[in-house]
Parts: sequence; structure tokens; C-alpha cells
Amino acid sequence: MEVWRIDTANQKFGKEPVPAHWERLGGRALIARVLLDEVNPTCDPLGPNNKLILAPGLLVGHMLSSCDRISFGGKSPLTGGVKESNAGGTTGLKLVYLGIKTLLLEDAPKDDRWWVVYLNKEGATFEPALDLVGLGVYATAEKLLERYGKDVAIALIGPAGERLQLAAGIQNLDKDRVPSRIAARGGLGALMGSKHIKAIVIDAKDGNKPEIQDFESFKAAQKRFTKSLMEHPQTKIYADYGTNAMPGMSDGFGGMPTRNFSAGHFEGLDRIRGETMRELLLQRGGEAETTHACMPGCTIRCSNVYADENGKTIVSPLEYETVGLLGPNLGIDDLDAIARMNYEINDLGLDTIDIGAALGVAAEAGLMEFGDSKRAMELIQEIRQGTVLGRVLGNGAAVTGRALNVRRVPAVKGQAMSAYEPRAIKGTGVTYATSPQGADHTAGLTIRAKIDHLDPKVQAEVSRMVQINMAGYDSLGACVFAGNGFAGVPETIKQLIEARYGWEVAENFLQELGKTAIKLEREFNRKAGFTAADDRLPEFMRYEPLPPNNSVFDVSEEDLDHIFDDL
Amino acid sequence: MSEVEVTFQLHTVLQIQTPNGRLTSLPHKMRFGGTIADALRDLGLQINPDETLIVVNRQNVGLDYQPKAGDVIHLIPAIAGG
Repeated sequence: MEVWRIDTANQKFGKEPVPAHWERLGGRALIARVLLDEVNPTCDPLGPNNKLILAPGLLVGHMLSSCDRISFGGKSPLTGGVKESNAGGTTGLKLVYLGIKTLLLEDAPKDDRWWVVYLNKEGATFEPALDLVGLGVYATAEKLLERYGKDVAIALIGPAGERLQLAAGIQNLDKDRVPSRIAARGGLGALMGSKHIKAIVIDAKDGNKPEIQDFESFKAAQKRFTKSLMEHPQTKIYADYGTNAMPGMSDGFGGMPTRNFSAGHFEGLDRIRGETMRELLLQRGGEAETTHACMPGCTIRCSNVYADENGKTIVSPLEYETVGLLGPNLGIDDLDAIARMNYEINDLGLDTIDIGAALGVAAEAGLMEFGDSKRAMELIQEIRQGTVLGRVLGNGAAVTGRALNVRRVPAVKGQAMSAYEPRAIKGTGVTYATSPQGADHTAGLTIRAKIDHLDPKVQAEVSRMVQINMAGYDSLGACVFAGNGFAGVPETIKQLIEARYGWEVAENFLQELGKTAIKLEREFNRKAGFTAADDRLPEFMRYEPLPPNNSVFDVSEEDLDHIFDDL
Repeated sequence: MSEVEVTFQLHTVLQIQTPNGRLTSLPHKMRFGGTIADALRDLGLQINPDETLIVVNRQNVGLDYQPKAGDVIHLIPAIAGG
């Protein structure tokens, strides 16, 4: 494996061996290591001293079910701190086929030209992207596939990334070549835009699958892991309902963000929940699919294709977080309207979580009535048109709150919360507060735990454990749902890593990796100027009771401050 | 009081497919002082207790919970998130 460096100032390329202390890291942990080694924590995130880092996880490259995720990272334009955001699709797999341990986009362009970076076995070339600038994500992907053929992987940005909007993400092709797998969080699309790179095209046709040191052991561990995953009860739920199985569970605990995080129960829940969505898609038929894999080889298939009443695709996939933030959070109970907004936000190359939260804040400011999906779509079109209001909204919820003088802003470290109300699911509130990433459900959800979610005393320990595990999975390239398989046969993580690389690793390799990632990330944030004061939820959540539980977030500051003392 | 009326609210894969479509809730009269385990047995509903969240009044409860009149008992096949 090698380190590939892309010099965006001079359109040059170089490759070098992997430094020894990077070798046993991947994905999220490697990103944190690279940031500490090579990026000044106080740099301008959109300036020449930041780097966009692509790092496949340690298990990527073998079509191990749900374990081919790609991590993108850098200093976050949105939070000003460390950022890792990962996605499914084919980008990670193809990078590994080219032997790339990490791809670094460095420096900044000196003129107005935009580029496609084309990677193949020979290296990288810069190709003009003039015809792609300004195009939406879907049209850009189509043109690139025409130009480079159907077998490439692509990571690309939309108009929002080009405009350096802080809620911009980076989209990746799924196995059906739809640019729907977005590394959405933290404004990494803006970071890519600051380098004037519209797309990275990865042509791995002359590449190779990575070498496995002990093929028989790897296959044996893979078989056990896959069996465990397929037999896990959650796998069937995700296959039948996708992530939108969540609304009933969130709402059941009074934790469904509703009307800009002012309530935890949504009266229109039955019209947007996964059970309803599944029935609708089965009735509509045509292109609709209730189950769909985002990565080759995934056995969970939690994705879907959401089609209209004529069976024509509106968007793929329609996921819980999007449904939550564009649905109940805006008082909207119309799945078709939510799906159409989702498509537009995708096409702009934006994060549906931060945009949904920004629209909720805008509604609170009086720019739309809660429940008015037509007006919500008009506001999204303002982003496309690049109006002043659109530029504000495209920067996400925190900036929107400041610009519109709204105090109820559901964000931590400048990043919007996902669709779990932290006053009802307090452990997830601890994660939002203390994750170096900012508010992010993928950093450590606690809703599955059989605990009293309102008891402030038991939350920190649960959050800590889940955060460490998640940071580990994010470093392996494993989807959160792959964790269900590994939970039944945890020893297979050690077996797979040892067989793949020929290393000897600890029984608790997952947790060691996770702890390393979080420790490095906290160090980067400290050097960037973050303090304990940044590990807090918005203050209104401590004094504004959330119906129907009428609870506030009352986990002690001491618990928040000491959660990672013993990493 | 010898009996209490409760409602079981079924989520995702527990919504039994019938000729009339999915079944989302099951009203049930049960013995006062009986537990959720008793009620599930009477209803013939089989759940995996390790993988099912039982939620009453927005709180996790166990199979030994004794429902009160009017309780809505959510049976939620657990998932890790979305």
C-alpha cells in the first residue's frame, strides 16, 4: 500500500511508502493521525494548509459484507475541528485495488480552473472540469460515467461544494452507479471545493485485490462473520424497512425531533414511518425497491429506491435521518414531499441533516410555516439559486441560527443534531456533546440500550462504550450495522485483521483502534482551540422541557468532562 | 378490579401480515396484576426478549412489568439506529 499525494496548486502527483506509524491505522483513526502529523490545527479549513484525506478502513477491499466504507477527513470547515465522514459505495474498494492506503489532496489552486482528478494504476492526472462546474451531482456523475466508462468509482461534489458551503458533502457512486452515498457531515464537500476538485475518478481496472497473508483463515473468519450477520434479527429489519424502521422507536421514547426540536412526539408519525413506507413502495412497484445494497457484497441491504405513484424513482435511498429532519422536524408528514426535497438536497451536494435542521431553524424564524412542504422546497431552491438566504441555509443550522437570530439551534460544535432528541435519549446527548466530531449520531447512538434513557446518571458510561466501538468500526471501514454481525463473533475482527495483514493484534483490537482514534481527535481539537466548553449541548436543552416527557438534558458537566479520562 | 384493558402496539417485523393487511395494534383484556409475559402468552405472541424493546409511557420495561388500565405497550424489535 502507498500514500498518494495530489498537489492541487501545481496539478502534480506523487506517491510514497506508508510511514510505519500509519500502517496499523485505517479510516477514521488514520485521518486523525494524518491531521496531527501534517495539518496545522489552527489553519483556515478552506485554505492551502488544510488537506482532504481519503482513507479506506483496514478491512476494505474484500467485499466483506458491509465493510468497504471510505472515510473522508480534514479539518472541518463546519466545526473548525477534526472531521471524519464515511460513506458506502465503491470508492473505498477501488482505492484499495489501486494500492492506496490514503489519498491526500494538498495545497490550494492559484487560479480559477477546476479539475477532475483521474486515478489509475499509473498514478493521477488532472483533467479540465470546465463542462462540469455548476452541474448538480446527478448530471455530473452521468457525464463522468460517459467519459470514463461504467467501471469507475467516483467521489464528487455538487454546486454547494463549489461555493464552499459549510454543509456540503462528498457523494460517491453506489453499486448501481447512482451518486447517492454521501460523506455528508462537517462540510468536507466545501474542503474539496476549496481545492477546485469537482470529482475524483478511480479507474481500478488494472488494479488488484489486496493481498491476504493467510487466505484460509480469512475465509473462515469471513464465513463466520457473514453467518452471524445474516442470522442477526436486526438484519431482517433493516432489509425489510431500511433505516426508516427507526421512527416508531424514536417516537416511542418521546425522542423524535419535531418542529425544530420543540417536541419529541410527532402526531403525523404513522404517515412517515418505515412500515408505511414499505407498504407504499410495495404497492407502487415499478422502480421502487424496499431493499437495496449500497456496496457490492452487502448482505444487509438496508438501502431502498423510493418511487412515485407511477413507479418512477424520486430518490434513492430515503433514510431515517433525512425523514426525521425533513419530516417531523419541519412538521411535514408527506413522504413524497420529503423524498423530493431529499433529491434536491442530494443534487446540490448537501447534507440532509444539516439542511433539514437549518430549515427547522428558518421555520422558527418565521420564514416558513411548519408543515408547509411547498415553502420548504422553495427555500431549498434559494440554495440552488445562490440567493443571500440560500447561501445562509447552505451553511447549515448553526450559521442559519446566527443569521436569523434564533436561539433554539440543535447543533454542537456547529454541526446539527441527527434525528434523536437528546433530552429524551440522553446517552445520545452525551455523544453529541462529547464526540470530537460534533453532533453526530454515527459517533455513538445509545437508543438500543435497555436503560432508563431519562436517568442522567447512567448515560456517560453507555455513550463512552458505544463511541469507542463506533470509532473502531469507522477505522475498519465497517458499517455500523456490520457491528451486529461482529457482536456475535467478536473474535473474527482479530482473525480477519491478522489473516489480512499478518500482524498480531490484541483481542480487543476494535476498542484499541477506537480509543486511538478518539484520543488523536481530541488532541487535534485541543490544538485547534477547543475546550470543555465546546463539549456541551445548546443551553436551551438544559432548561427548556421537552414534551411529552417534559425532560431536560441534565447529565452533569462533570460526566461530560471526564468521559474520556482513561483513554 | 379484576381485569385491565391494555393495547399492544406492534412495530416493524412484529406487524403480522394478515389477509386484511398489517396488524399494528392488539387490544387486550388481562388479569389485574398479570405481567406482560402473561399477556404475550395469552395472545400467542412470541418475541425475542433480548432483541425486543418493551416500552410503556416512553420507558423501557421488562417482561415482568404489570400493566395498568389503559397502558399502550410498544413491542419494538430493537435496531441500533438509522
